[in-house]
Amino acid sequence: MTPNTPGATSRNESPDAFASDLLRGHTDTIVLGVLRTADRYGFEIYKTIRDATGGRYEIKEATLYATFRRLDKDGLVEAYWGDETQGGRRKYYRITDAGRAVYRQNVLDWTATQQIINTLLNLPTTHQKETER
Amino acid sequence: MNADSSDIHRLLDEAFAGVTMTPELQDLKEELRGNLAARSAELQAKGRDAASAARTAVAELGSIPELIAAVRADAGTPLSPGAAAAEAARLHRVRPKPGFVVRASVLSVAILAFGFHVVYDLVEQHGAANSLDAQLWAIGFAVLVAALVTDSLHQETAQHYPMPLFRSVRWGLAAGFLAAGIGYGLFFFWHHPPLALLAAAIILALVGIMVMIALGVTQTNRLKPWALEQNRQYEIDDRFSQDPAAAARFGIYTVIIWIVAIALFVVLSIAVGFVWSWLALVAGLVVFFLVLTRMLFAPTK
Repeated sequence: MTPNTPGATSRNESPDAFASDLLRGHTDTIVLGVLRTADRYGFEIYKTIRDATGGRYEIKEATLYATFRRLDKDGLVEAYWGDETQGGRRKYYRITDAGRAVYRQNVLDWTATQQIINTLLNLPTTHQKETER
Repeated sequence: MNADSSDIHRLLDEAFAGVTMTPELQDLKEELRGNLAARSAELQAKGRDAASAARTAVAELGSIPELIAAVRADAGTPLSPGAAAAEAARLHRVRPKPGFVVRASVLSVAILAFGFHVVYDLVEQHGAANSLDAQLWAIGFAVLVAALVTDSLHQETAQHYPMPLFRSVRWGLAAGFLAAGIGYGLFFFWHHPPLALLAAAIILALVGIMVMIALGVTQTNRLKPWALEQNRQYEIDDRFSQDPAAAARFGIYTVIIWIVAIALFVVLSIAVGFVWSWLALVAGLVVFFLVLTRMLFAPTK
């Protein structure tokens, strides 16, 4: 929840709090998306999200731990320990096939929701490629 | 970051002070330690000193007591011992090292190739079976078996800590000796070469078996703590741990069996010859295992 930098790219004029709430609802999907390309440990996931949003959106690390445990319990990711010998072992997370399926489904759901909301708000769809009926 | 993470250890210990540790909380603490160390290292790379970097990393993390409470709540319903052990094993999953997987695959393929070549020499190349070339293939086969056994035993698995290198090397050598012994034995039965070869086969196999027995008898339990706990829960202690006297009796029986078997072997070798005398050793082995089975899994009264 860092103050919004006056961003030129910000397409969204809604207050920052609203965007954060919206984003928080998708934490699971965001984490799954980050893990899609590589196994990562907790701080690495946090850092990837932080850097990808240019620091405009920071998930609380504590929230992430709850997410990891939930995803692990649901079998969407699996955890294993790395073999670092110094500075504490790292717990890595790997996305499972079930996790990939859930990720794909959530992305489809999000795309559909986004189109509906855009239609209802009389906004042009963000993705120009997608033709509206 | 090695020397600089002492602040993190201290702050983490403070945050967990007075908390009754469960496997889940221990797991959380270790995970936090690794992540805090990474964040602290990142801050230090930007020029912060170790102490303030550690404090910032811990402060940024959020409320550790809340995290602890959340983990506690997750583990609300106590698990059955078996489920708890399975959970602990899952939490401590060990990733097979990619290098090991590659080595094991390559060695297995090589063992197959060498094994086929040895069998081919035996069955097809009647004349060549005694040649240096065939022997080299057989020795290569034994060395590869030894390497695979050593390498595999030296891996940490989800259930076991890695076996010490020296002990796994001895297991590997024993397996290699046994493989070589069996190989030489096969040579003998197919082609009836000089008796020296049979003697070599028996000595190799015997050394292999003896070393394996010695290693097996002195093997300590290297299971991980939660697996040991599971064993305690299920009370599947073997007879020898429950009754040391039985173990002592078994040791004495073993000595007697092998003295008799080896004496018989020597006498038969002189009286009848090598063609039959080796049966004494086989008989000794059979009796040894029968006694072992009988004593280890005695019927309960």
